[in-house]
Amino acid sequence: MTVLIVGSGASAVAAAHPLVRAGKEVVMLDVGATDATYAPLIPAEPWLKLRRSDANQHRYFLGDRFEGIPFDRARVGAQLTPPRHYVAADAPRLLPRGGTGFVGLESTAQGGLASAWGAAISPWGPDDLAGLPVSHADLLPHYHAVADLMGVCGQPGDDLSDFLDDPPSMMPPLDPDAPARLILDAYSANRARLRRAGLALGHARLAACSREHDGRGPHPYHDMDFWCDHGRAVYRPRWTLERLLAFPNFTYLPGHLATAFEESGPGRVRVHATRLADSTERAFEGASLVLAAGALGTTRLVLRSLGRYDAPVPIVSNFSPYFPMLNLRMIGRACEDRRHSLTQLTGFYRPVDPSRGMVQLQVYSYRSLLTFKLLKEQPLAIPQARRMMQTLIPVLTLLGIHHEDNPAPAKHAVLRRGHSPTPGVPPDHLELNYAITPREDALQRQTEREVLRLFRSLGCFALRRIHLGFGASIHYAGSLPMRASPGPLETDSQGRLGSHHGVYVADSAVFPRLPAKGVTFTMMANAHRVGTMIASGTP
Amino acid sequence: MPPRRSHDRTLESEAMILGRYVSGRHVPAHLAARYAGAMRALGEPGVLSDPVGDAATARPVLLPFLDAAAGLLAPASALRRRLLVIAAVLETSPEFADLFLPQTVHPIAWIVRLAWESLTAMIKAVLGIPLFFVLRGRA
Repeated sequence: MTVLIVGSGASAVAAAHPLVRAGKEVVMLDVGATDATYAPLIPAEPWLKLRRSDANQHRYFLGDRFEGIPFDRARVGAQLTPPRHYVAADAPRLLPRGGTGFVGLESTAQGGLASAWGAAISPWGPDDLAGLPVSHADLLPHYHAVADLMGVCGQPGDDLSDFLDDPPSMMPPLDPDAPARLILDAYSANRARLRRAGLALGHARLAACSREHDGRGPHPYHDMDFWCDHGRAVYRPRWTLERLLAFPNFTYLPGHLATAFEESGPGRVRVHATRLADSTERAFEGASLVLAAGALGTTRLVLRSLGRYDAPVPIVSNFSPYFPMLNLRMIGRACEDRRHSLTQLTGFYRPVDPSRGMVQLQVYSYRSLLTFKLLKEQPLAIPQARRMMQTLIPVLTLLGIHHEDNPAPAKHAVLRRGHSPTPGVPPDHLELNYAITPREDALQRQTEREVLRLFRSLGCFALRRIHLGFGASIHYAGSLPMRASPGPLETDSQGRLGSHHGVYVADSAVFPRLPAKGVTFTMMANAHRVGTMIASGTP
Repeated sequence: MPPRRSHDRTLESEAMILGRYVSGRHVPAHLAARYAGAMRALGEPGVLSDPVGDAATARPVLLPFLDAAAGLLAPASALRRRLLVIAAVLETSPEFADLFLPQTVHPIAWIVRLAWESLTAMIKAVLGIPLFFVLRGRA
């Protein structure tokens, strides 16, 4: 009764966890790229100390091939520093893509995209799950289980509690840095007015440990979260993978690219994979298959396995522009070195106009990603730009505005036949085409203007709008939507692929739409639910 | 054909010129060698040899003006790319790190510094733009 799982990212380990603990034989197939170069180079010291003392810092800050020096404009994945490049490095070669208007990012790393995750969690509420054949009550115990697994922190009872159903095991929040504290103070002083205007702000909910949890943490406040995982305080799927490897009924097979699957009858599923070391094909058999290769990876695998070439399926992705802002209250104030690099504050804005959806807000500071990357964005002589950035960075706050997304004909994925230059990689590519209507664009911009106006009253003035492209949020969903009565390219309430008995989808491909709240926590809760149901034989 | 002086230069000497311009300090040999390694790794092995780059490195007194003009008119030019690389190399060395670290200053000093740097950059650009076009016209 082997259960095969494809992928090792956040949804894969969340699905595997209940299966393995229930004693099921689980085989996890994964490409499983890792970083053996940079992580050992980074001393467990704060960012400022490293900057002033480590003669080897150029190796991890710039990379041995100087891959950390970006010549082109900021683009999707720009936050992937050289020690995180491995997360997406092999994807263009192993997971070919095409199309227009979509700049998606995929991973073949051990731990998937969550190996470089910003760790913000936003549990969905009943409204966010509307239309799904899964209720909030169905998901609630799995939110709690995943929260225990990851270790999460936040401030229960603050204004975000009206929007987020916080798990009971939540640890105290990580300390926000000075710029974020000033924003929060200004918000508190004007709270009644801002709440009436639709804005709520609070400490970010994060998959990070503010105190010791399950052998991890507490967060050391080294401001190195973009570069490494000091103290293992921030959740990464490989922490769970390491725990699973201790079970004799769990087998992890890295170096395998799953290429297709077939079901020959109830309880008989076969997965075909390429062993990348020698480009040979291997087959694995099991009673059930859990697809958790990321929404795009799973979509590619399903369309190929079912021979559904040239058949469009929907794709949705949160649109997330960023706004560098001058936080004027920071002028003349010192920035402490003890800080983390994750989201400092989270917020929600609900427009008065009900035709526009709520947006989620993420507030960051800029420091540890280095100053030189900002120099090329300035139309100034470099020495002047350097001195200006030294002065401006303590005052710089980044606001991300995350919009909801709904399926539309202009947003779709199609598997196209082609040729592959890489041995062992099937000769096709996933074409992603994405466009929004002028009305969607106008509504989003209207909401953004309203948010920026409210932030001006908090002392933060936006400098520009940075749009890295649709798909840059790295939140993808909607391609194999969950329905009460699923079709062949849809899934049922248990995540089972339509017309299949033992093939389940455990990643975000099953969510027909994306609310503004981030998808990762809900995706993991749903994957845990799928794994639990398979383990108990419920399906 | 590039001018002869381009052939006489090396990436290391180019690093010394660009590094002194960016930091105002002498650039040690090991950082100049790192710059040369970066240029090779990034696929730009030759020294600056276009008319703008050649003028900027052959006559460092022109560099501030050509850099300011390129920042406005050609932000992706070879000169700006190389200045970005030397800035990255300097920033990630302990001896130059302080030149790139954020600084907290008094509010009045904050305003004065931003105004001064903006004014300086603008003057350099105004002087550099005609020179930039003249040199580009020779290409």
